[in-house]
Amino acid sequence: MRPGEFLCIVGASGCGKTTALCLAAGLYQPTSGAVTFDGQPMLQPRREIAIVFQDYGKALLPWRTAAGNVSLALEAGGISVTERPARIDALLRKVGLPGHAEKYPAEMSGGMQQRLQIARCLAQEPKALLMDEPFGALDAMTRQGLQDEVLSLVAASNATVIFVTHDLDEAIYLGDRVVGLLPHPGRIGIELAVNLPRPRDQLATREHPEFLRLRRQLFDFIKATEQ
Amino acid sequence: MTLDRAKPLLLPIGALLAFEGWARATHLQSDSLAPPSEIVVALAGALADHSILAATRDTLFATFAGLAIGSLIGLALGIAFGISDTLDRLMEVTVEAVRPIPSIALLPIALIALGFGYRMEIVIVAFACIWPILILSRAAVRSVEPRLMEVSRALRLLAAQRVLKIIIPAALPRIFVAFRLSAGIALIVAVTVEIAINPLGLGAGIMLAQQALRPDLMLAYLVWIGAIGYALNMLLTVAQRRLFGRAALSGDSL
Repeated sequence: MRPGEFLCIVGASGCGKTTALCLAAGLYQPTSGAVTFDGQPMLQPRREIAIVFQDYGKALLPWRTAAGNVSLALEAGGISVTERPARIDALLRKVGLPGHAEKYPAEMSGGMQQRLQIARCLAQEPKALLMDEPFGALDAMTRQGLQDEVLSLVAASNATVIFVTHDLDEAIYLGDRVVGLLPHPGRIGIELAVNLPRPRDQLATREHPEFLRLRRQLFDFIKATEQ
Repeated sequence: MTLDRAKPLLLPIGALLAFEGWARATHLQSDSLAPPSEIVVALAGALADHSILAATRDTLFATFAGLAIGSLIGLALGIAFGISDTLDRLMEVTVEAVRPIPSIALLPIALIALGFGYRMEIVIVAFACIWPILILSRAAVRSVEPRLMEVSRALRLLAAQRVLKIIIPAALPRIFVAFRLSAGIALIVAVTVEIAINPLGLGAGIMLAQQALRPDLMLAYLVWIGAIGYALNMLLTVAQRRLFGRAALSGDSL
């Protein structure tokens, strides 16, 4: 992968999308081959790589407030107690949650919880962001809003992103490159470069002829794998 | 409403009144029974001369000291076994062999090793408390949401941070239930040790009253021990609700 690239992975259920992400994160070890980051093999997770899980409800600490959840990443990074409040404040502002610092996850909507998880990941100041169907459980409007926010956050931080999704439109809308996986055994079946202008726009981009062409190509690929 | 609430009290109060009436009518002479009115008088007397309060202090001291020591050991082992499968497998046979020993069966050994007094009683209470805490905290650690463990790995939390910031808070509501259970066991074991052999506390008080042929005082002790056990459980139940109201709530929504 190129640094700063936004790669989307799509594929039918059970083809290894999440496994690929966990391998990239260093949560699993490959049975053969190697995953490298900055030229070094990934034997365990690294601080420069942050992971956004789909099930935000399980990934957040229910006994900590929003601020406390963000703080966890800072504590892990050895940031001093005096520095934390300012950083937490800035991060919550960044993801659009100012004024919710003292709320517990159970008091927040799904979209807000996922924003909170993203804030915690940004607290790691990651060079790479791995996202596992992060918006899969959210409603369509919230999802579109968060897609644009992720794009602008990523553009601002210049992080490399691997984004797993089952939503083909979302993959094309967000990605510089889309990879489609084939199951049994999991392998790359299609690779599409997305040369759509940035910044992307929910209406203009999705009406772009190139978008529609890629969409058709990807749909045909997925359909073929399901037969 | 008030009548509704009083209903569960109807039967015990009725039984007490009937017993009182029967005892008076037959001019009860017994070494094991006494009419409720005499029990109340005996209890008031024991409270007035502070003898029952001193005994309560002794019993509760042994109970809480044993509970604290047993809980700490049980918790440390439970967390270690819950985290490390290797350690758990290594210790499996040992734990299962030692655990079924009734704690009171240690009495002769403890008596020879430590003599009469607090230390022997505390050791036996602690032994009894270790097991429920160990077993339940091990299960609680095992059932910590696996996603949280992945989060802690992804954030590169140190082992100590992982235990203190993720595992213990996540398992704490269930660990507290184990603690509550153990508190009840601790009181039972402490009084048992005192009745069996140790010359201090409420258990010794009961035995003394029995040997003095004072059934009223003996039963007063019995009522008092029941009240203490009830109060202890109430206290911990309220504490549990206060401390983990929110955690229990969010636990439901997961």
